[in-house]
Amino acid sequence: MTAVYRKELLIYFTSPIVYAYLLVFYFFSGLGFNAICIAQQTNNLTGAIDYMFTISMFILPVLTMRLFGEERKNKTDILLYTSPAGTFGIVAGKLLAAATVYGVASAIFVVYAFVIGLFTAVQWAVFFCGLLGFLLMGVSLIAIGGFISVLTENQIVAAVITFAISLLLSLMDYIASMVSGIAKTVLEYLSYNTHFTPFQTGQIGLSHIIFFLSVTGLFAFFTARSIDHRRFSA
Amino acid sequence: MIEVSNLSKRYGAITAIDHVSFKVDKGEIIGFLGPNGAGKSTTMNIITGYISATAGYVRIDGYDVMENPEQTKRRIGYLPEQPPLYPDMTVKEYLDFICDLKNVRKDRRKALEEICEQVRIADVYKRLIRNLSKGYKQRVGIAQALIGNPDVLILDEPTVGLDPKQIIEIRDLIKKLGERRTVILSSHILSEIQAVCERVIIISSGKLVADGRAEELSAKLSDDHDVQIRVEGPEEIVFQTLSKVHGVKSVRKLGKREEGSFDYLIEPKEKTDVRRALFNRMAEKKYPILSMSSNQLTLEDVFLKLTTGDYDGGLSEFTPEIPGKDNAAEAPESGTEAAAAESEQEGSDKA
Ligand SMILES: Nc1ncnc2c1ncn2[C@@H]1O[C@H](COP(=O)(O)OP(=O)(O)OP(=O)(O)O)[C@@H](O)[C@H]1O
Ligand SMILES: [Mg+2]
Repeated sequence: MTAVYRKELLIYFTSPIVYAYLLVFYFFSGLGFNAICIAQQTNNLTGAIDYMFTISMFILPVLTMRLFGEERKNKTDILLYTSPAGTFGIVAGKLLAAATVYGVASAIFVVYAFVIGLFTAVQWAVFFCGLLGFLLMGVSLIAIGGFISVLTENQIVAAVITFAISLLLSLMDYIASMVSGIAKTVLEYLSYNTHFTPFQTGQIGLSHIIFFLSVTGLFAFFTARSIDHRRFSA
Repeated sequence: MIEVSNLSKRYGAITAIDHVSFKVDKGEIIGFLGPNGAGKSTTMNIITGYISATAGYVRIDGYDVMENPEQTKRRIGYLPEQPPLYPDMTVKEYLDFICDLKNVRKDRRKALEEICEQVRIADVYKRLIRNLSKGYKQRVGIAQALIGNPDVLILDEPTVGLDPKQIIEIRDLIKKLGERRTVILSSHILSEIQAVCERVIIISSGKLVADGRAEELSAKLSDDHDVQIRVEGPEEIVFQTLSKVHGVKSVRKLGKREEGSFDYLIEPKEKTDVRRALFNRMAEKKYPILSMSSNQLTLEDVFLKLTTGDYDGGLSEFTPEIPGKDNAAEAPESGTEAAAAESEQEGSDKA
């Protein structure tokens, strides 16, 4: 797992697309920080984090679109799957590497927090709680994106589908409001907003942590299963 | 060491390999031969545990590849058909990654140096893989397979893309590696298999058609020893004289290949060697024999004989070409056309 993780990071940081990702992330978060925190003179960063939640939906697929499909296309996957590393270790290594890039991007919020700290007292607890939610949300999206990239060798297709799913998850509240009964309950439960928003108010809800971790685990599992299915079926 | 038993693989309607069984002992070097699409790469992918078989099993050192993948994968170094390289890494980064992947920890630097020396990539060590020539990429692929000092090496067409000098070097390397290791190598180049391998396995359309030592195979499949000779002198008279030599069953004119001389193919009566008789007779008549070759099957011929249905024992090699001949219309002859092409190719290889 660590071998794949390190290799994946190396590939990420030699690829222009990751720098583009970081640039876009830093640019928009700076914009948000400026517009929400500085302009409104607040010591609460969660507004900016909340705003980056939406932006991330759009740009995160860039990190996962080539995660698995590219290796299959270039036939480098043979190397991984004939090595002593197990399928699950390989999947974990790759997802962790994507999560690390995401973490590097998110770390900018800590910088903003210190900037605020120059002027006023920071509500560190609320801030870290919000950041935790942001990280958990992102990692679960990465797991979903990774799964999509197993299904297609085409990066663009993978990115578009992942984006569509992210969009669907963020619009779930809206869709839920159009139905009623059990469907409404289910859709509301699946909504990312339902689980993300509480973090931004400084509440660490175990159920929300479990929700994001379950999505992550489930999709990592699906990913490993579908890789093995492809190799071992027929 | 390696036991392949009743291995079959189907892709939907396509049967890639069909009940293939063979055993490879420790220290053997096996040549895996077959025309395009025969199932060589598929078999290798199954042996290395990349894909599963539809039926049958593979055991390495007694461990089943599917049931004990950790045990078997540690023992195998694999060079797939297309070297699995990451173009954006340098050779050093790549080989370091492979060491990580295969859990090679101690003496890594020394091991890497030795491998780079063996496959001669030390001079490109710091370069990006994407900028390497095809041959160097292939060598990096071979280096990758050697990392971790595996007991078993599975090499899918290891010399593709290499220059002639490198081919010889890699062959020697494989031979050397094979002293302490078990090697299965696939190739289309028959002379390569002959040069490197003790044993040859031939598959065709997914089925195993031959398994044995190269000489054994050609001896087993050889017909009686036809002789091809080139004699200086008038064609018709020489032809008549040849026909009357004791032990000759039939003579076929093969036409003019060299100024002033003609080629003939002589089929002797069963189990007789007519070469001395031919020499004496021609000397007597003062028709110099410019060349004479015993027409024993080469591995090439064996290969073609086994993998195409309509092989004529290598005769086509001597059939003069008819200009403007429509190949498509001569469908049954396509195999022999290939035979001629193959033989010519071998000729030029040697040259
Ligand atoms: N993933 C796949 N899906 C469908 N058919 C496949 C697949 N892989 C291989 N085949 C088929 O299986 C057969 C054997 O292919 P394989 O690659 O093993 O041949 P090969 O002997 O290695 O040929 P070559 O000399 O060209 O490398 C071919 O008919 C091929 O089309
Ligand atoms: Mg092949």
